[in-house]
Formats: sequence, C-alpha cells, structure tokens
Amino acid sequence: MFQKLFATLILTGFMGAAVLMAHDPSQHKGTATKGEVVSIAGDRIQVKTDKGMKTITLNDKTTFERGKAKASLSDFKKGDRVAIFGTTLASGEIVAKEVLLDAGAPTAAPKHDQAHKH
Amino acid sequence: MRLARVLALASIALCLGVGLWMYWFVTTHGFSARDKPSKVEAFLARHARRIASPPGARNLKNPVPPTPLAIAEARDHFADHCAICHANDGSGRTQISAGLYPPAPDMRQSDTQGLSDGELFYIIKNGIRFTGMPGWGGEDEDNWKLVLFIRHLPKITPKELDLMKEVNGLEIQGSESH
Repeated sequence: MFQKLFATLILTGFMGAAVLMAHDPSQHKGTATKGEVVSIAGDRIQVKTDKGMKTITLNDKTTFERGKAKASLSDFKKGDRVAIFGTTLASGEIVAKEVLLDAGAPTAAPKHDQAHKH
Repeated sequence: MRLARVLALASIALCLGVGLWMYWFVTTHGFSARDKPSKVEAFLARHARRIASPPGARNLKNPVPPTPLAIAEARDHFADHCAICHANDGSGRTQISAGLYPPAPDMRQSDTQGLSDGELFYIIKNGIRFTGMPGWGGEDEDNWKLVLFIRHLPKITPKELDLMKEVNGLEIQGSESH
C-alpha cells in the first residue's frame, strides 16, 4: 500500500517537473501585448490591440515561437494573432523579447518569475 | 615584568567590561530587529563595509552602456527581485525593510549613490554579511545593468514606477518626495 503511494508520489513529481520544464507562459514577467498583426516593416511590427495600435521593436535577441515550435520573423504574416512579451522603455516603446504566434498564447502572465534567473 | 602584569590586568578588565556591557545590552534591548541602528553603529558598519570591499572590485568600470533598453530591463529585474525590500522607487520604505536590522537604505541618497559602480556591483553579487542583503550571484551583465538602474533611481519617472507596479503590484509607501 505504502509502496504504491510512494510510487505515485514519485511519478507525480516527475510529471510536475516535466510540465514546468516545457515552455511555460508563466515564466514571463508582466503582461503580454496581445493583438493582430497589422504590418511588418524591418525591425518593427504593428499590432492592433484592444487599447489601440502598438508598435513593437524587434532586435537580435527577440525569439519567435508558434505553439511550442521555434519560428522566425518570416513566419509572420498580416492578420496573425500574437502575444508579445518584452520590455517597455521609459519612452513607451516596447522591445520584444519573445513573440508567440497564434491564439495559443497565454491570456495572462503572473507577476513573478517562477524560475529565479538572477 | 610589572608592565606585563598591568597590561594583563587591563586586558582582563576590558574583556570584563565589554562582557558586562553586552550582557546589559542584550538583556535590556533583546534581539529585536525592529530597533534602528544608532548613528555610531551605522557609521562604523558603513566604514567597515568600505574597508572590507576588495580594492579591485571598487575600481571596476561598468562595461554595459546606459542605453534605454538596458535600464528598462534592469528596471523589470529590480521590480521582480529587489523591490520587495528596496521598494520600486528605491526608498527602502517597505514592510520587510521596516523589520530588518539594519533596514534597507534609501538608494537615492548619497550613502548609496556615493559608492562606486564596482562597489555596487560587488554588493549585488556578494551581498552584505549580517544584513538582509543576500549575495545574488547571477550573470555579471544583469548585475551591471542593475548598477545602471540604481544610478537612474534618483530620476525615475512616475510612468516607470507604473511599469514596475505592473510587474510586481507594489505600491509606493509614504509621501516623502525624492
């Protein structure tokens, strides 16, 4: 009885760890900028959000994902639904760290980073 | 011979005096962390820290240029890891700091801003013994960016504070302006 319980606990632990190690939107800080791609020009993407048009700047550190697969800027097209995590500069400009394609994007991100990366 | 005896007696008397003083201090003050350090204690601790900082660390130069992106990344990092004790505006007015001995300093003031970039970097990375400041270790680049943000704290804008609040939900306590 106790052996079964112990084995179940171990298995549950492994499954939990596997879930945490997969791409987890909860690892992001802050709130995503979500909306529909309106245009792509050079290192800038215009996104139509609920709060109006937002211009997102991309740089060489920006990563792109579609679902759980890696993607690239060329995978974007007008009309795509995206969720973008990034850093908002004091000027209001948003520099993207990660652009997630498609509606599988998270609806909200928690306030704290679970994996302490400091 | 007589001098040695006098020195020995003086040493014993000194140890006895210090011991009695410590006994009196502990029994009358206890171990509460809610007390505030006296000015003498703060002065001595600050100078001890300065003396204990490796000279090589003190003279280090920040290799990260103060770009808006570097400062903004450090701002988010600070909001996520540091502000719980130091407050979003660096004032140190937080619930945790109020119960720390010594409390977190107001980082906008000269006691912090007067430190060299290298000293700030060393403190972020290694912490300060006998205080609430842990040694974070971490990536050097991230720590240097935090140094940039600490330098930026005296001129932080309300908009930046709003962005930090989006990250950690912390309100600015008190009304003292900086």
